Amino acid sequence: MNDALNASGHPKGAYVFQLYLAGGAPNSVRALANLYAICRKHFPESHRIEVIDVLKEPLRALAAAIFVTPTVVKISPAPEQQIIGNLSEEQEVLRALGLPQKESE
Amino acid sequence: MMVTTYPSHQSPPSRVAAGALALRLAHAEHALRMITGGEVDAIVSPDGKTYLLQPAQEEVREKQKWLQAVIESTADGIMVVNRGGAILSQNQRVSRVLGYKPDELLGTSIFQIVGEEDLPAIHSAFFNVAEGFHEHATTRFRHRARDGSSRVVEATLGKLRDAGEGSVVFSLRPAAGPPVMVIEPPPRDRFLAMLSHELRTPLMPVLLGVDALAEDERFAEARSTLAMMRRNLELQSRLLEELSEFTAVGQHKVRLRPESIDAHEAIRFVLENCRSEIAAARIEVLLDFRASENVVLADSVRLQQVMWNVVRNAVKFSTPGGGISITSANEAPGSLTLKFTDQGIGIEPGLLPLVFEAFQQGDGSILQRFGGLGLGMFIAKGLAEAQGGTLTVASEGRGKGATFSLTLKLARAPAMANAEVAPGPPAEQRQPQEAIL
Repeated sequence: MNDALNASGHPKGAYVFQLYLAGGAPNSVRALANLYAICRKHFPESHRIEVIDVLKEPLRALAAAIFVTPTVVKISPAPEQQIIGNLSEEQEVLRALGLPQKESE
Repeated sequence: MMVTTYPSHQSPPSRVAAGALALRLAHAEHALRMITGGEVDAIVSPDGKTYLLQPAQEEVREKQKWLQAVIESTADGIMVVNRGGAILSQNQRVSRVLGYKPDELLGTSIFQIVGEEDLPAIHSAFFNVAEGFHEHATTRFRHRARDGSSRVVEATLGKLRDAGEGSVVFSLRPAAGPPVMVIEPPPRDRFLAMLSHELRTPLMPVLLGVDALAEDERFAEARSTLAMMRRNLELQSRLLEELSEFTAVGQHKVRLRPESIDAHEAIRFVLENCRSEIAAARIEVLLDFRASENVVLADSVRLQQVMWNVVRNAVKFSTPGGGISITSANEAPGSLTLKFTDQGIGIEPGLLPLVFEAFQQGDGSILQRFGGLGLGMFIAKGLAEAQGGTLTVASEGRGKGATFSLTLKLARAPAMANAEVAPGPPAEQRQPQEAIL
C-alpha cells in the first residue's frame, strides 16, 4: 500500500465521509448536495465521499449501526462522527465536525 | 441535525458500558427528534428492511414553491393548454409577452388569441404535439394585444409529461421576424383536389380504349353499348372536373386572361356544344339578342364555362318539350345583361339563396332526381365574379321556371374607361392576370 495512504486506504489528512441516504428522497438529495458543497468549499483538495443507498444496501447500514437516513459518517480524520439530517446548516455542521468555521463570502 | 462523537480513549469496562448505553440512548433520542423534524426520509429496521417516510406537507409545499419560483423566473411566458385549446395555467410572463392582464387569458382558448391567418400553423403544431407526432414544435403567430397593438410571438409547444390527457405546454416569447406563413388549403378542399385528380387520371386510357373499340369493325354490334359507355365516362370526367374547378374557385386560384369577346357569339358557341343534350331533352331554345353593345371584357374560356354551366343547368331542370329563352340587353351603362329563362321546375323562394352554394341542389329529392354534385352554379358564379360580372337568380316559385341573369363588363365602356381598352400588346405577350375572387 502506498505511503501516502493511511490504514483505510485513504489519502493522509483527507476528509473521508460516508453518506447513508435513501435513493432520491428529498432530505437525502439535499444532504448529498450540501455535503458536496461543504467539501468543495472547505477542503477542496482532499475529500472523498462514499454514498451508500440504504434502499440498495440496507445491510451495510445495519452493519454500521445506521438506522435513519440521511446520515453522514465522518470516517477520517478521527474521531469518527455521525450527523443525521439534511446538513442544511453549514456552520452547525462545521462546528459538529470540529472544523474551523469560516465566514462565508 | 445531531452529532454523536465516539470517545477515542478507552475507559474502565463498566464505565465504558454505561457510557456507551447513555450514548446510544442519546443517539436514539436525537434520531427521533430528526424524524419528527422531517429531516429523515428513511428508516432501516434491524431486520434489514428500509421504510421510506412520506415527506411532510410542509416539504411538499416547499417543493411547489420552488417549482413555482423556477417557472416564474424563466424568460419565456409559459402556459398549459388542454386538448381543447383552453388555457389552464400560465406564469406572469405570459401576460407581458401577449399584452394581456395576468388572469385575463385563463380559461379562454389559445386559438382565439392567434391571428386568423396563422391559425393553420398553430393548429398543425398543436395537433402534432398533442398527438405525440413531435416532441416539440416551434411556430410563430401574429396576435393582437389588449391595447390593439399587433405582435409577433414565437411559440414552442411541448406535450405536458403528466400522463394526463394530452395537455400542451406553450413557451412564448416575442419574435422579431415575420410570422411563418403556412398556406394550406382547408382539408376538405385539399382532399377534393387530390381526389378529383386521382380519379380522373385513369379515365383517359379507358376513354381511348372505348373509342378504339367503337372504330373496330369486329365490335360493330356492340356500338350502342360502347356509345353508352363513352357517355358515362364523359359524364364521370365532367363531374370530376367540376370537383377540381370547385377547389380552384374555392381557393381563389383562377387565372384569367381578359380580352374583348363577342358575348352573342360566345352563347351561340356554347349552345352548339350543348346541342346533343338540348336535343335529348327536346327543348327549344329561343334567342332574343337586343343589346347593341355586346363585346365584353372577359376570359374567353372562363366566360364559356359560366355560360355552359348556366345553359346546362337550365336544360337539366327543364321539363321535356319546354323551352329556354336567352336574351341580351344593355340594361346599365357599361354592362351587358344576359338572361337565361327556363320553364323548368323552378325554385322555391326559401331555396333561392342556396342555388349558388357548393354541393347544394334544392332539397335532397332534387339531388336524387337530377344527379350531379351541385357544383355547377357555385363555379359559374365564382367565375362570373372573377371577371367583374355578376350572376343572380330569380324564380316565382316551384314549377314556375327560373331566370339566371349574367351581367358582364363591356369591353368598350362609354366613358372614362378608355385606358382599360387601349390596345395592348398581342395576346401571347400579355401576362396572365391573377384574379382574386
